[in-house]
Amino acid sequence: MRERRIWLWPEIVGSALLALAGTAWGQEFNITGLRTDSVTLYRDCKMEQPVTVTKQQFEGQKWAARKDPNSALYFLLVRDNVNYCVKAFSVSTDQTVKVDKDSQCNARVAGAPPKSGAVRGVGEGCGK
Amino acid sequence: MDASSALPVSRARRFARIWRPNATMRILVQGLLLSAAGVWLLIYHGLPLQLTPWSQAIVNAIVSHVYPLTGQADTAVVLFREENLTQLDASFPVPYERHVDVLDALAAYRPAAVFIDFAFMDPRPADDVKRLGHAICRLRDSRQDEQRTVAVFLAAAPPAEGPSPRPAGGIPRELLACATPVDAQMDAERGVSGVITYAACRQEPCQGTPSMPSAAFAMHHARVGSVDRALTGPRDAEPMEIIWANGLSPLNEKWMQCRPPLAAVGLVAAVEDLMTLWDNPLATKRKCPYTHTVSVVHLLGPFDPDVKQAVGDKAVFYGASFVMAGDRVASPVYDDLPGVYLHAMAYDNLRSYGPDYKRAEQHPASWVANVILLVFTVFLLLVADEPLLPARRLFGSGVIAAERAGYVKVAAIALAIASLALTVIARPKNPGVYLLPALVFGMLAFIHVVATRPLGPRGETTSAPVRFLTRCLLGGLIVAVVLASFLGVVKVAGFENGLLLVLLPGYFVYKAVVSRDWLFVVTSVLMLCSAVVCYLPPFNLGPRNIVGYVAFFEAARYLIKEANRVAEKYVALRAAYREPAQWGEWARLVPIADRIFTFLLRGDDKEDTDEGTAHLAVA
Repeated sequence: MRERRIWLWPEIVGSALLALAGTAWGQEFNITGLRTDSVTLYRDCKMEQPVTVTKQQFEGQKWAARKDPNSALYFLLVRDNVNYCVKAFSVSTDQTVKVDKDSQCNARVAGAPPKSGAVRGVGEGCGK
Repeated sequence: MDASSALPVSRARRFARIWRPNATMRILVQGLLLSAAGVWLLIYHGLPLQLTPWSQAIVNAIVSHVYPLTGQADTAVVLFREENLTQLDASFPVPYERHVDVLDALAAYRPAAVFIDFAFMDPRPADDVKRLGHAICRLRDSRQDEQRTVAVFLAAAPPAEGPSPRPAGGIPRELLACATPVDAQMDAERGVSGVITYAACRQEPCQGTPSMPSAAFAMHHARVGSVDRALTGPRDAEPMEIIWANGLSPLNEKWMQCRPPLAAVGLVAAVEDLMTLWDNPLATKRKCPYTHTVSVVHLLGPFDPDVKQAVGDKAVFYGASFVMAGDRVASPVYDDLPGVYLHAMAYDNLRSYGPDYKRAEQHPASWVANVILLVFTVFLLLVADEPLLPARRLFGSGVIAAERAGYVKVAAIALAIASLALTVIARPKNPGVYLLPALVFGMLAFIHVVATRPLGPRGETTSAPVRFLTRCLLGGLIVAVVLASFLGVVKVAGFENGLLLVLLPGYFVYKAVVSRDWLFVVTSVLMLCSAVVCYLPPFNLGPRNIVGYVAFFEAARYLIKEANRVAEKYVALRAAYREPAQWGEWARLVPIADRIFTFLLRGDDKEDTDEGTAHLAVA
């Protein structure tokens, strides 16, 4: 009688990928400097509640932060029990913050873009 | 003397006599006709441009190998793509707040100079304009700790007809506190090849008037300052003809769709692609721009060493790629690109060539080069294949003349070598002028060889059938190897490289080995040298012109042979039918036809006179 083998590889690989993705998503790092003269923190990630921090005010500090799961353009941080968002480009970090996936992969820059419905002729592109 | 010659000449006898110009007159007329055709085709009519798209394909392939990388290393485009609007939760037109973010992010990467290719003309809330003005100032001052100022330029609108409350190109004054307005208008395409010219300023003449400089020229001036590639000469404000570099950008390949032509999967698709390209070599244009590019989303994301390398201490062109804006540029190399790439490419040309950038209008010296090439081509056509006696005499076919001409030839070769050596040692600013004598003397020496070579078949060591079969075999082999290599190169490096690196050399080898057309071979080599000399400053003629001359030489040579064949046939008919009645109603036109056809004859005359009894014989 032939022994029945159970293939666990797909599950193992899937779990490993999920774990990796989770690690990347939840990657924690420290903000170690400001790349511009002053940086705006957004209280509770609301644009209408900005708090400005200058380089002088930041000097000597280190803020623990993590990536914003909703946007690659912001980092999340907590200070004095308050959540803040900060623009990712405006700060430097103690480790490279990896973007999970470039949302622009395979972008097409040259070439006439497809016409929108408003300017498309009747029957155009029907292949007749 | 024949007794009949003393008789009064009757009408029939006059008809029987074939009017025939002497060889000197023939060579003069043929030379004039060829020169006139050459001037018309090559200089006024623009034959080189008519050879597009094939010549353009060759030019593209050459440019891909010789275009310097200086400009690419110093230029970056920051592109606001249509897709970025969604990613940034913005709508069109781009809110000023987003521009503020982009400029702040740019400032964090510390560029050297920035051109903003957005027209800030539409009415916006005063606070937004103020904030944008402050962001521009922050960008300008972002390198103050290095004691440097980042030059910022804003695209100005076309000049208004009447008085305008915003005199500086329609830009609000608040935005000009820390920036300079520049002209960002596009010139129209020129010619079928889509060559684009780029003005140095809005209203010529640029120098000595308060005219607004164009974006690329202003950026170059700000970036280069007073170093040796600065544009300070009297001709350095002339419009540019943009050379579209077409190499690869490793940065762009990381995130763009850069499918090269003929990357189709499967043999059928590849053959279909090839057929399309054969029909029009420019049909499949490049998809990936040459200039290093990042999108605003790349810029606004976490610090990225690639972005730092592209933007840090570089000339940055910030523009948009929106369908609705319609700001696109068509070039001979790329599918249409966002308009900002035009300015980036013009700047790239300036950085790469400095004061030697290719002018839209030809330098007076290029007329000299044109005339020399034309004279050489015409002389060659006159002495090629069946040189007339005066041409042979001129270049020394007689014993004494040959001896003198031999010295002249040696002197010409020596002068050519001296001129070449001088150019290499002195490395002058205008190497084309120094190399021109080398080219002219080389051409003279070659014409001498052509004119004085022994006519008729050379001694052959093998019999005709063996020779025939050997050549057939060689021809077949060369064609097979060329075809296989062509397909391989096209697949790997594109159609243009296949054309330049395989087809043209293959044709050259075929002519040399199978056709044994050494005249074509040496002419091609000389024309190749001419291409190099004429490409150098101050001529800037470009390889397209040289392709034009080679095409003219080949076409004219074929037509001359055909004309000679027809003329010989006519003369034979004239000799056979000497009665007016035999020519019917055309008899009255025969004297005119005599004058036309006999001028087309090639070769030396064997007889000086034709008294109506002897047949005209042409060697």
